[in-house]
Amino acid sequence: MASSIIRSVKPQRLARRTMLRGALRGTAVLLGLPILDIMLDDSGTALAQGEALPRCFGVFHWGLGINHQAWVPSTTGKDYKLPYSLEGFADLKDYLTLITGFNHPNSSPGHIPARGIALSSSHDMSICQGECVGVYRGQNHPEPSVDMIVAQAWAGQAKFDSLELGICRTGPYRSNSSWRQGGTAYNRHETSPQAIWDRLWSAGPAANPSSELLAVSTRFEQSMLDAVVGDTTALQQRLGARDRQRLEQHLEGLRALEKRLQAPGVTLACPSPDRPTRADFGDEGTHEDKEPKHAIMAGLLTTALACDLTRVFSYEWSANQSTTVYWEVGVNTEHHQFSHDAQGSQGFKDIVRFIMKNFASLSRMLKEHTEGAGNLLDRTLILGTSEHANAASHDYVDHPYLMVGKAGGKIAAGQHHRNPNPNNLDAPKILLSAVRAVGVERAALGQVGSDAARVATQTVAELEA
Amino acid sequence: MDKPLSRVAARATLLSGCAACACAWLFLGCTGYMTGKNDSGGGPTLPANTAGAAGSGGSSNATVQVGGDHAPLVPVPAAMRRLTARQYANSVHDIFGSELALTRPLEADETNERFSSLGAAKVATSPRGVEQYRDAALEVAESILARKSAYPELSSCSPTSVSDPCIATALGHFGQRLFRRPLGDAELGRYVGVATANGDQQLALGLRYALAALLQSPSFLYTPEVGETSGATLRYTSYEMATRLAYLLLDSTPDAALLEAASRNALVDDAGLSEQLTRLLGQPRAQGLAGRFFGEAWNVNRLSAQSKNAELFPEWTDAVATAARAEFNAFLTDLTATRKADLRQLFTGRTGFPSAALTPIYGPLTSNDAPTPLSLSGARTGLLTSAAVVAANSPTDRTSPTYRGVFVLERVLCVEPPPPPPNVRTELPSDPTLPLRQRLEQHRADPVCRACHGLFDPLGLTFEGFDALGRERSSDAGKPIDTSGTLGELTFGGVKDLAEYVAKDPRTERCLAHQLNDYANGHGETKGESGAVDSLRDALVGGGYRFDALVTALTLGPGFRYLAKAE
Repeated sequence: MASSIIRSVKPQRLARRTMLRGALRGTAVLLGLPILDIMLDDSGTALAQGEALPRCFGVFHWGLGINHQAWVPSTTGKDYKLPYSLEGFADLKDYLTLITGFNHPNSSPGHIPARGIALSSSHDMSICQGECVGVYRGQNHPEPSVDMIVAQAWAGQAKFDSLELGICRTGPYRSNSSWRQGGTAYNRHETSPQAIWDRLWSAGPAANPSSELLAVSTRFEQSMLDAVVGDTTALQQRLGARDRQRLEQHLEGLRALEKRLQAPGVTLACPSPDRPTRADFGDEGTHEDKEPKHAIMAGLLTTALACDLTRVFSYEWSANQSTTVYWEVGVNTEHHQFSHDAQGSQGFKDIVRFIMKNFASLSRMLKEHTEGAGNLLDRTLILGTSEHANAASHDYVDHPYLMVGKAGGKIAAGQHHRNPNPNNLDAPKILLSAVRAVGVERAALGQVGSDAARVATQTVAELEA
Repeated sequence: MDKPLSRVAARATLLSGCAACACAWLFLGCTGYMTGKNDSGGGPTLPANTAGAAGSGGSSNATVQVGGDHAPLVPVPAAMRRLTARQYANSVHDIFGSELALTRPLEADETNERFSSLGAAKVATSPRGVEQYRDAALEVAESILARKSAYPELSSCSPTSVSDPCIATALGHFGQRLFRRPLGDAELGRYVGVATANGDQQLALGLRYALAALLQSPSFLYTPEVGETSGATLRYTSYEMATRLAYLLLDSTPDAALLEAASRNALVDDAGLSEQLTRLLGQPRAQGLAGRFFGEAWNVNRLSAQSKNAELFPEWTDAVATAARAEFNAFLTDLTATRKADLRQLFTGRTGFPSAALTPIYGPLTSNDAPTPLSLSGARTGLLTSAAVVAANSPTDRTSPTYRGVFVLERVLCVEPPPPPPNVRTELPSDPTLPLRQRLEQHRADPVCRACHGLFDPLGLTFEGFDALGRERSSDAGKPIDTSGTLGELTFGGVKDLAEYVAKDPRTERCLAHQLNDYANGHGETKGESGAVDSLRDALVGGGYRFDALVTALTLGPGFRYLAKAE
């Protein structure tokens, strides 16, 4: 085993022999391996073969918006003063792109449709059955969330097409800021660091038999997946369109398992950090230990990105309508209720500042992972947003968006850009800008067939490098 | 096809409630939705059955008579449900033995919907969820093989050749239990193929993977339904009925007797269905149905040890939360299974079931560790003011007349207030020296807020005599509590008045029928089901408001037995 070469989540060098072993096993050079200096060209900015370094894309979502007084700087451009909420980014200001003054078209209010607006510029009531009782519930977001748009475009490039990680668990929804198909196909954010580790770095049950059984097990495993795929496909033919589509989603998962089975050795070649020892973070309670969990999660994510185990992630700090309690800043009322009772209070501003401090610490870990002349954050773009702007009034006016990272040089990072037109409906363009920045060539993004303003066909030119 | 539904079209006025009290609602200007209720008042109406298939023609979409003068049923297309995590565990334990350890987490159930069954009928499994099913299946299969002597089909099955018939026999047996129907030849062949994928070598390991494959099949993980034609209608098959009955009544897979009845095709007629229904209703798991159903309908499922702010309420412990839930279940078991009494005692009952652990909530109790009957005192009334219900419908750190008023409207009367309008400020006046009643009054000074908060806040204020944990209290912010409240033009001196009122309001009966119909069928009531649900209400009323009368009418009724062809 080549494990335990990297003992902590801090970036370390791999033995050249380890890298070669991975390559000799016949996997793609990048699969499951950290970017090493020996793989880079002389300037340390591209692969020796001349290919650009792969880009990474992530979403950082937090619930319940912001307070604009503590969010919007008074000036724009490069020399703006970081607002109170974002002072945690002081050492990362060159990597931060703060985008303000962009509005979404108004919509059915409430937190559930809101995340569809914020992350895919879509929300659709057409999924409701029967008489559509509770029109604002159970809505469909016909577009995938932006992280999934990128993951689907990059499917098959890394061992895991995407990772979903979550910190806060308390609330009615817990996890619903990443979806492959609106209304039905949510990814559930893993909130246990140990479970993330087990998924990425342990071989899993029944997959670590003695070496002479490995080939036999693989054959059986393949046969098992074949049978389940066969059953699923046969069943699909008997069902209606909706159920067929749901089973199609199931098949996607089975195919991903098959693909991983056909690339054995990847896990062995990727050096693993130590398994986190802490399991109890007060999840779902009023005293969730968010920061210690976040520190471990962010470290595992950094290693996973550095090892090219995945290139896409959704980091759900908190879900929409989160009811976690920010005891860390002295607020004892759960977040959702507090956003309604006291959105203008200092306590509310302190909550946003606390969340942003942690967003910054994740970003810092990526930046501190050096690769040749650059670092992991240079080739990454993290889009940060929340389901609402002002959650007290359930709105999308001057919606909070920030980008962290340079997307391989495609983003003009280090500035505050504010939309000069107060009546604009340009927020969907930010989503299109983000996916195009990492090279996903989409003509449009947003809910087609709804009002035209929801569909972005242009990017925000000022964000482009 | 689905049609976007405009908010105007979706409006149904509150007027469509009971005749006696309806006029009180109108002036408020807060349009809500009478959930599932046919709007016959001449106001804006909903498009018929936006679900799609029904009404689009074709012999299998024929309507079904529902009895009485009610409109016939327009059957609704089936949507397969994914087993909830609990149903998965119950099923595995019922089939393979409760000794089996299940340590692998499954993908979380869909919680965006009011009932887990509605979420289960929509959800698709993510790639990570498929991975989790794989890991769980391999764990279960390994445990089964480790104790194979416990299973007659496996105890003497140690094949050394691919032609050993015990492979197909064992897989056919477990396959039938897992899929809740016999396997077809091609299906069984697929699983035998897994076991024999390495020829005569390692057949024991092969069996393990074959069992794991069965456990990962969508035929086990979901409940696909296609029905069979019966005259002009499409009905669920006997095997499908076995599955529907079992997951509704037992929250688990059909037992052997139910599958045996299905094999005789005995679950498509009233007599055979009644026989199994009577048998199942006598089982302990079926006695938990009311607890499971009301647990979801009344928001109590979300209650946990972590529901309250630990700094403010150190009294709220794991033991208290557990005992509160146990009391809730005990109340319902007593009412619906032991006494089979009038469901309106949910509101007006005079007996609670606290265990000693609830002393911090109810005051000194001489009862023991188990829920014990106790006459209610003070303002307590029925299950409505139990610790579980009050605590579950309160925020973490204080009371909320808004939560509690919305609870009574939505969950007891099935009147759903609309979402708050966009761009409305929602901050409450923060003067801590004022009781919540006064702070809410200031909030309602804004006419935009008053339109809806004027409806539910005064209703919820009748609960102000109970704090966030459900303890009785007499003051708020140092001032005596005023528990008076209103519902439109009706006034209540306190929560007991309210309880007596809702027990008599016909909307409550219709709401119970509507909710159980949704819970059992996994979809929101369609317009075409309106008559069928009205007839369930009739059965409830005619059956002396007994829960088992409602359950019987539902499971024998057409809405549970007929479907429309899916597109």
